[in-house]
Amino acid sequence: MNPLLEQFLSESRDAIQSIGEKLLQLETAPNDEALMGELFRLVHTLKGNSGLFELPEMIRVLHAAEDLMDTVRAGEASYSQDLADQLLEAMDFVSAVLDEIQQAGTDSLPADAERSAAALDLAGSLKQLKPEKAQPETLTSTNPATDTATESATEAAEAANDADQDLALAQVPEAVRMHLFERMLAGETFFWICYQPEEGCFYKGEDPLFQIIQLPTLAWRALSAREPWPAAEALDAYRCLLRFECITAMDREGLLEHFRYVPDQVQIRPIALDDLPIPSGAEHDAVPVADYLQSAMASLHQGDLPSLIQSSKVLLELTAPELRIASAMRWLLLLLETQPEDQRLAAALLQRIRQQEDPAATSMPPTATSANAATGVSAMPQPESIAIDEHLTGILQTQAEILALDDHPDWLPGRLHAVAASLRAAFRCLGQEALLAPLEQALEQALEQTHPQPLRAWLEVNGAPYLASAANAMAALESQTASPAPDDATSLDSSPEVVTASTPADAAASAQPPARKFGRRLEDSYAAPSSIKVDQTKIDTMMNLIGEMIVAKNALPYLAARAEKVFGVRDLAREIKAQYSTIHRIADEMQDAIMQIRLLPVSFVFQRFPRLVRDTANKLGKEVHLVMEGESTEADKNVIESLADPLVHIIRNSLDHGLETADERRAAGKPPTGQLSIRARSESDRVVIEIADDGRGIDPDTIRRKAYEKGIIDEQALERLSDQEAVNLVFAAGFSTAAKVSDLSGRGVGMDVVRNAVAQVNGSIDLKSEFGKGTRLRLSLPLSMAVSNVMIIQSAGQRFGVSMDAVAETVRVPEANIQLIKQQKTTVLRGRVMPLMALNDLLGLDQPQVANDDREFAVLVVRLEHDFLGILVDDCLETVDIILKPLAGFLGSIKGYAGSALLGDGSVLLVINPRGLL
Amino acid sequence: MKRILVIDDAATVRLYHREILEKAGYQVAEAINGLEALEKIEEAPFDLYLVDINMPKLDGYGFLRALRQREMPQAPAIMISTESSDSDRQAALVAGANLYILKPTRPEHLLPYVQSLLGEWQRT
Repeated sequence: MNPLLEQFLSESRDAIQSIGEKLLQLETAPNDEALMGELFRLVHTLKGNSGLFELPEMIRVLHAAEDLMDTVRAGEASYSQDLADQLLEAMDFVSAVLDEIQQAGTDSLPADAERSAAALDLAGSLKQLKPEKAQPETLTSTNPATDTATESATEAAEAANDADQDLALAQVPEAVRMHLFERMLAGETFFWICYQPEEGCFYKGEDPLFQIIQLPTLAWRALSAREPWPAAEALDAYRCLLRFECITAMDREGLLEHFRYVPDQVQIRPIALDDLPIPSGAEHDAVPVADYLQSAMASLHQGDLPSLIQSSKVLLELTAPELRIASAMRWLLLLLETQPEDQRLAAALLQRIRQQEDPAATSMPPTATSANAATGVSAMPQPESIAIDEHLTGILQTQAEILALDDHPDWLPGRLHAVAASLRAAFRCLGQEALLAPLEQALEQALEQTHPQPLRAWLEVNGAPYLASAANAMAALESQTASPAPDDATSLDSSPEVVTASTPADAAASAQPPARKFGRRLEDSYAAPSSIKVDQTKIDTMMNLIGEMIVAKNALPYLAARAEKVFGVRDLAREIKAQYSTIHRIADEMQDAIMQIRLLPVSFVFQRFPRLVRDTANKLGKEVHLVMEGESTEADKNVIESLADPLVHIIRNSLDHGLETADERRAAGKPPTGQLSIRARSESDRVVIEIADDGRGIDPDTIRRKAYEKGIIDEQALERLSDQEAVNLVFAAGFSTAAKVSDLSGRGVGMDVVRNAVAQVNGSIDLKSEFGKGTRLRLSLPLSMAVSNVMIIQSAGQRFGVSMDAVAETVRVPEANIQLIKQQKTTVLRGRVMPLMALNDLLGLDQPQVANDDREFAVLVVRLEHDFLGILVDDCLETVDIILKPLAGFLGSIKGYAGSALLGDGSVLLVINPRGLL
Repeated sequence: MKRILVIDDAATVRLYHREILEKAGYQVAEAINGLEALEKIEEAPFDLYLVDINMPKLDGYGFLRALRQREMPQAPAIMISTESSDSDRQAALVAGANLYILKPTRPEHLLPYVQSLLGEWQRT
């Protein structure tokens, strides 16, 4: 997977996580504007990021979410639970898409009908939550603000893609264009539409052809392929490569509505009058145009239309009708005939003919004098226009806009410098280095006067040739938006006051916050929290390496002993020992450091709970108040992760079985809202997590009866069991107290699964319940599982390890004190009867246990839940710290062993899991 | 080598721009918000700024205003935004941007602007 995609996935996951948290926080503080702003920013960033990839469905959903958040933020819609539900669902969807990407390792996911249907669905329901403002029949314009935004977006794109449209319109037959021209003169408006359905559209139930033929009032349409069709045998008929183009008289609202499900695949652009006169046809080589152009320009210049018409007619008769120049003449005549007053288009057309038919003429560089000479005739485009590339035009245009701003902020000098820097760069690109010295002078003057005027004058003179070519494109924009673009090139000698007065910059300037706010002190006080993200496999690898190093380190004392005993070099042995102590200290510190890295706060697991509790309580129709404490308590990553599932199960149980509905609670004299608390804290080297509710508690009698019915206990036990013991029966395998299996808990797994999961990480669980008052579960877990302290024991001539967590004590029991009760060896330890089992029997080793010379057996007393069991071994040796590695592969299923470890002398120690042995 | 500062709170966007710009032969530095950007320019000014609008702590407008107030060589700044409305564009220009571009920025779209504002663009 490429790093960009990886970054995207991880950042998106974080964002989704935070969005979830923020939504829940908003539930308690729905009017918190800062929170709302933060939430909006997160959704916004998420959407912005997905825009970099091919993820149409995700963008669709996020776009709808962002839109909705925007209206909420603006106070047009209010925050509601419904809204939160929808947004959470949308985030679930996004998560699912992210998972898919993660799995596929690429952002180009195959089209999937289910996914896109879900996306449409979600986007639809998000949209529905937005307040209706407009007429119900105009579905797309429920929010005027967004509509304007989309519209101006389309318009910006329109300007940028003017060249495309030129090309597109050139393919429309001349007769059709002329007809359109006349109808537009009569006041009709037309839009050019290019609809390129996405390749997988057939899988989404879209019908592009139907979309197009459903369009009313079509003036023209065409169908083409976006790329050459592959050979027949390689053709994928389900991959849509079509491009539909058409011209329609339908209005923009209608079109947006018509294409509302595929807005990203449709370009809609208004057709301007001057888009239409495009001479089309075959090129020629023999027609003498140069003379004609010269006289035509002159005639137009002097306003001598009759002679222009005359000479154009002559040229038209002279040329074959299919030639481009003939087409141009036809257009020219049409323009002169229909618009004798306004010769702007005619002049532009002549210019165009000149560029196309007589390229030599246009290659002459324009001069400032030519721009200033043509002041008399208003119909002529004033300066010679030079077509340059769109982005350079854009840059010049924008600088002109900036210089036309009417505000006088503190940062005006900086702004002027920046504009000058931009202009410097742009003119260097244009190859106009000679103009740079005057630019510097203009900048200096502007700085002296603290007014942009000198720079503006410079740009107006020197930028005019370039800006003129963009003026046409801008004209369309200016007519529809209140753009503060400077007046076009005709305002060359208008006074600055006139131009600045026409720019609505004041509003924007006054709307911005005071500038001094961003002083220096604010910056100085800022210190970013510096943390890095590391892949967990890297940490695991490091952990393993450190583990191995610790074991390797333990070989040094053996080496020292060998040096002394085998090779007889005592001095060397001493040096090795000295070196060992240094390495030992460093290794210990390293291990400590890596443990610190692996520590995670329990909030890692806890953060899921607010939503879990909320969703579950909603489903059950209960009112629950969740209290969480000690989320910053830390424990090893493995321990924390192993906690997740048991805790979810416990919480579900509490919500489902423990807490009552509001009515039941009132009847019992409790407040209607149930209380569920999850508290974490550390106690010496263990983490304790308590989950308590004030629900109905566990009825020991019900448990006794159930357990008896299910055959878990016999009749005697029924009588004998204390209430506490009865309550603990819920941990017995196959026990389920709920009368009916509900959707939430009770899926056949019960508390025994929870207990086993906790036991797996050497944890213990403790349940206290008071009938009618509530239940409290207490989980106690080790801080870390990475290094275990084990006791080495000997049995049948082999060494084994037993986790010290399991060992309560070791005792020596004389053979005479071991009695057989019902075939079971037992002994009495401090007045209590304790069952005894021989390790060799448990392990299936065919040897008797060996007693010591005093006929005493070594007994390992292990704690199992609340009982003690004695395991007979041959001898108990020392305790060591080891790095426990679980048995892998086929051996992994052997329950009797917790894993293996390397000892300092290089031998392997098998570590017994007493619980698994029984 | 020309130095460009990319300021965006979204790490994905920063990486995206970094890849485009580095491939085009520029040296790229990143800042996660306006404040960090101001710290970065304290060390040395850049030749061009790519600025996101919506960022925590100090947004793009705030950064540009602060930048333009500094006594230092002023380089062009491109504001990159998802908002196509005219008032957003206007506000960006007022604050000190020299260009306003909409997200997502495709390389073939972004690079000519970057190169032009650095005086390095050549007509093909």
